[in-house]
Amino acid sequence: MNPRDLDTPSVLELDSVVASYRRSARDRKRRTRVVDRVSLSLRKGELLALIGESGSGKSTLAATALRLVTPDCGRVLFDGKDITHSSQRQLRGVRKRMQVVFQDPYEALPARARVRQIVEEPLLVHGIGRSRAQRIRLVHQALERTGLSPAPLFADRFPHQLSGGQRQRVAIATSLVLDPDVLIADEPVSMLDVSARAGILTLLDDLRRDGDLGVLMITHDLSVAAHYADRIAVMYLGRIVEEGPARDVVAAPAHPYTRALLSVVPPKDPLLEVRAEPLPGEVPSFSSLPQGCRLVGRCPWAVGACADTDPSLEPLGDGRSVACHRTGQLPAGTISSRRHSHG
Amino acid sequence: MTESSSPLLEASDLNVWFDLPDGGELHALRGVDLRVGSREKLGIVGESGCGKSTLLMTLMGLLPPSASASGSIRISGQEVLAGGERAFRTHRWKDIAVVFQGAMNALNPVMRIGRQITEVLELHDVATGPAAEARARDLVTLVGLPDVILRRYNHELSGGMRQRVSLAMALACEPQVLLADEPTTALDVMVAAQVLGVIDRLTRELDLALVLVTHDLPLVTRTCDRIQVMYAGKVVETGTPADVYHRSEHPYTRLLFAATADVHSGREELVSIAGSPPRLDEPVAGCAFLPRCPMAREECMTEAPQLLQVASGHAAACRFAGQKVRMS
Repeated sequence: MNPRDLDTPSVLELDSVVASYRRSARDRKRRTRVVDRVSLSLRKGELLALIGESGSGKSTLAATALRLVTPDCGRVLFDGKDITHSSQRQLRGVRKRMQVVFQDPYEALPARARVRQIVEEPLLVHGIGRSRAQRIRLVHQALERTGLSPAPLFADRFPHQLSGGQRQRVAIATSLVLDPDVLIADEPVSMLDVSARAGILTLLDDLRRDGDLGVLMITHDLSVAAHYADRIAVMYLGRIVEEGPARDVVAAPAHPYTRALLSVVPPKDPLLEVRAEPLPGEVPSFSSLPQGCRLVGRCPWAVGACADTDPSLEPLGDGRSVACHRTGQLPAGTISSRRHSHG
Repeated sequence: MTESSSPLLEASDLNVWFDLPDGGELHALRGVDLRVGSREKLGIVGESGCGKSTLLMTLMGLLPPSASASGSIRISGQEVLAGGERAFRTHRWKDIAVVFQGAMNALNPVMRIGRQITEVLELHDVATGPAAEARARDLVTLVGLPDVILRRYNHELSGGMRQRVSLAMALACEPQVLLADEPTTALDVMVAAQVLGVIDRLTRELDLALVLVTHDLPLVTRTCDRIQVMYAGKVVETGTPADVYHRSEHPYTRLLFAATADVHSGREELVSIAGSPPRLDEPVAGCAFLPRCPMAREECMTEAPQLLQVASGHAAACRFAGQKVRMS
């Protein structure tokens, strides 16, 4: 199944979702909108990267998809079924099919349990497997799928006997053992050494290509997204500002925020000149959002309209959507140019 | 480099051992050389455990009591490692200063930023009273912060502002060499780029030499004039960014680049480097990279490779350096 095929059914869909938090424990009325009218769909077998800096709302968006946060309005659909207001009991079956892998493989695994027990735990929670032997078989299968082979050898180990990359594989195995339809990976490689990153990312890539698994990868790392994702969605202050095929977004970013993000990532090749053009200032807080476009105070191309109205995410026609009043009017500057060879 | 322009910071054959609780020793630095001249920007790059942070702490004379060091460190031509804490103290902050990754968390939470800076100035006899306050204003302006920041507390600042404050404090005594250990790793990408822009501007405006320690290969190829790649407590390759990227002579350097994602270079397949670095609490026989090396030969097991010069300023610690041996 080609994940880029628009006919491929969505396994997870967010429709105009708004999520907010109370401003204080006492004040029940005033709330801060952290995710604001976000629509996003993850197709079967697709790897979708959600990019954003800290405080962009990307983790809250993921929590909303998992229904750990109930949205104020909008809908969450899992496999076509509306789960926006499902009860905790109803969600149990859904959660089994929607698994999470966290950033820190050093914190995520219990120190005193063997890998076998760690990977078996979700089976016990969900009452899967009639016998111990059957569960162990599933555990071994999951370990093999993550590349921890021979599985019986790794099953016997404790987390401290494993490298960072191997621990992250164990964390992924605890998800895979339930045979999920969706995997939400929150910064899955940012704690790992460079030499171990490609292994984990390739594993996620293979897993979704092998079956119908949809992977939502939350990351701040545009390079990682560019290498592995089918599509990229860029978040800024609770809104998706640009979304589209990874190749296109990276080759010709349409939103000023995406352009700036791309420029600050240095290339490996020292002869490739990429001028770092970070936006001035810092991300404003959710409690003091500008009235118009959220980027207005920092955007080098802002005009009058940008201060007045918040642009909505509009399709560009090539599978891409952008939320910018100046779409089509930005100078078509290339991000990189080859420097004259001097060595 | 001529005699008259001796390097600001020079280390040779640095070895550092840490005592382990079980009575053993961890050989964290295994014969590291380093030279930094005026206005030079040197990048030290490697993965966790390669000794890059230990190297910085050794250069600052800030190793814990459980560590012992041998070799030589010369700051502005004067030997300091042999002289111990007393020798380091005459140079620390005044000639050579450091900014850490978590420096922004090291600020005093109950003291205004301004007072923290003037305290540094008083402690090092740079200035007192109104002169110190004026100097503090200059310092925060230098790092691109408004001077209202001086009346603020740590918790009122963002991560980027705090890192700029710690940069201002490191520059208080006008050092000639700035060491920076992952100065932007804890920051968001946009803020990290701003802080790097400040560091880059300061090296030019203040004629600062920079030693940037990081795991981020593209960051050093963009920022630095010269790079030293470290592995298992040793420098395995050194040269200009173009040397180590385009004409790399060490298989580890090549694999490290091949493992690094790059948004500007298309979707080439990334490699992962199988295995892990050797334990440094046991003697390393032969080349430390051998178990992970795609071009290892039998000879590599017995003899530890020395840095072989392959061109002016470009050297690699691989027995095949300069021989155009291809990786299988």
